[in-house]
Amino acid sequence: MTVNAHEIGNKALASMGILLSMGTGFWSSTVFPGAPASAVACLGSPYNTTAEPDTNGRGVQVSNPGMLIENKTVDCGRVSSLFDKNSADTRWVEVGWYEDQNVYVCIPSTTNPWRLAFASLDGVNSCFIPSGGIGEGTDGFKVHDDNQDGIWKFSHDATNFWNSPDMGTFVTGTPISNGERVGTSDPAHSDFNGLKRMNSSQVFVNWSGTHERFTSDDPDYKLCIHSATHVEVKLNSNPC
Amino acid sequence: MLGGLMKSTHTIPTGARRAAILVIAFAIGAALGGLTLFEWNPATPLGDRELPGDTRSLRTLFDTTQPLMTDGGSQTTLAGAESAAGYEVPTPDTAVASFLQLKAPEIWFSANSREVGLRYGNNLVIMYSPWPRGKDPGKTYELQATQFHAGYTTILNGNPAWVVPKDSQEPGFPEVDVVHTSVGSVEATFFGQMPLDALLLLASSL
Repeated sequence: MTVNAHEIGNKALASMGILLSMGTGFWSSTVFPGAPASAVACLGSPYNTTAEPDTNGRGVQVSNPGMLIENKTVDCGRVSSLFDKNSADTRWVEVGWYEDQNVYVCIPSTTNPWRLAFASLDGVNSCFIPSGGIGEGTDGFKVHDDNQDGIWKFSHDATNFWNSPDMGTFVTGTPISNGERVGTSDPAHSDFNGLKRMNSSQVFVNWSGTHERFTSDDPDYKLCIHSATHVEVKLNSNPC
Repeated sequence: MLGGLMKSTHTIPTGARRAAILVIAFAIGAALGGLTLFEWNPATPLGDRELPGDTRSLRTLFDTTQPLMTDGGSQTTLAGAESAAGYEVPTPDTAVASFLQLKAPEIWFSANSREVGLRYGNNLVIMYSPWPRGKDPGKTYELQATQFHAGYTTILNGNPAWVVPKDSQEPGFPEVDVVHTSVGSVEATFFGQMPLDALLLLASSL
């Protein structure tokens, strides 16, 4: 017998009148996934090439010079981003840029690089909906919860462009850099120069002990660690 | 029935509460067919799109061949985890866990995040983390249910809780039933591959 836990739980609780506090107030730039998008040909887990330092932080930043932004042809999707993530990978915040041909949840499709701000809490998500693209170049990105109130602030250069929903007890995590692509024809070239994490004194300090994260799985791209604060994701054919 | 009994349990003595919990557990077991309690729901794909970023499925939490923690956290004892984390880790009632045939848990601790994790075979994972100073758990859960448009808030054994049933935000999100509850200064987040009522029963037995 297969038990539908969802139905049983809801019926049992609803019948006892337990519940329920779901208000409606919200800020306009936050959007929640609605109906699933139409099916596309680029399904399957993305490839990721990732690095992390040896110490956690209440924020992660790349600046001076920053994160490379490139406008290339993308058939499925690609992301260049920084994370802070909890120990079981169930909670994270992510900032950077992306291009999407309708393969990602929450964020809209694009034809050029757009800002990415994403928050995930134990299986449910929230994201920033950009109003337009960003130009190529090398820019600063940052996400942090300096005062440990559960609200993570997302910045592009000097602009704070989004705040996360309340992430509760998630106020610190492992900083990660991520070069990602969804299709085998998509590019994943990424460059993060000037990597920092926020320490418990609310000061951004340089990454140290930088190493490849074990989840890296792209067969065609590899991590090139130029220094503890500078990592690049490059095609295998290009020397590090 | 379940909700009503849960609501009343926080006002009665511990011995009687345990007995009441067991009665509820047996009732659930009988209603669902005893050992079929843990028949899994069919795997549900993540809608038809991907999460951006280096992520893993919530279902991998239950894969005992993979580490529960990916940041260097490692297995220890409950006493060792509590000592290192600096807070008491409330665990489900042993009689309820035994009735539900849960395996003895692996105990995990991460020095990076001060999170503690308990994994009971491939049915249940509980993650613990301390509340930041000044946060009100009940108000936080109400805000989160609203902001994420998922689940509902309630009280479990006198403790505030945010219940997020599988697929409650959209198909695939979350992939499994999730129950957050707060005991003292610690949040316990339950991830279950079992009927939601059983997960609520465990969460209310802390």
